[in-house]
Amino acid sequence: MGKNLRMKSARVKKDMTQAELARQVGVTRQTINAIESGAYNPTINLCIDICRALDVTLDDLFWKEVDDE
Amino acid sequence: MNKKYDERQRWVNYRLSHHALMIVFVLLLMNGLVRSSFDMTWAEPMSEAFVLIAVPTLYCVTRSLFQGAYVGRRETYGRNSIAFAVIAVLFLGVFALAGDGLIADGKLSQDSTTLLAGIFFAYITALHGIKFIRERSV
Repeated sequence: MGKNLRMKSARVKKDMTQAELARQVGVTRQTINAIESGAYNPTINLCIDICRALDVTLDDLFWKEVDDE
Repeated sequence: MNKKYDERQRWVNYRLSHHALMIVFVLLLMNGLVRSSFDMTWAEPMSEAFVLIAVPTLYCVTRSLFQGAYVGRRETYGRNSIAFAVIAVLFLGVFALAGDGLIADGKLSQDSTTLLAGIFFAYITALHGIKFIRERSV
């Protein structure tokens, strides 16, 4: 599983730290770090919460084109 | 569902619990083999039980601490390390004052449980301390 750079760049664009995003979606900072670094595959519910917090869609952050894989 | 831990923490804990269960199976099997094949008793029953429980527990605690899954969403490593340090000092103090030694009749003595418990909690205290320092530096 590769790094989720799109999520990291969306978070940075919103000027949020990992800890701030974590607090907003109700998880630990380590969980956000694990998702961004590709070490953890989040559930759809958490994906939706992250997208809402970052004002983006699921496609923007989590959809993978065949070429991406 | 336990709301204290987030979904990744629960996933880590389930995985590590499974590993710990496998370690328990292996240790129990090895202990049974040693006791039956060599007719060897290496510890008093309580000390033996403590060692067999402590090894997988320490594995679980160590790995879950360093994967950020030992404590819940509120990170309380500092407070926890103080609590564990007090327990460690109590056990080590009791052993120092009333313990009769680690080994008796060629096997781990009954009193060794107190010393082992002290070492167990001292180890967990040290882990919490390391984690506390690492979390503050992030």
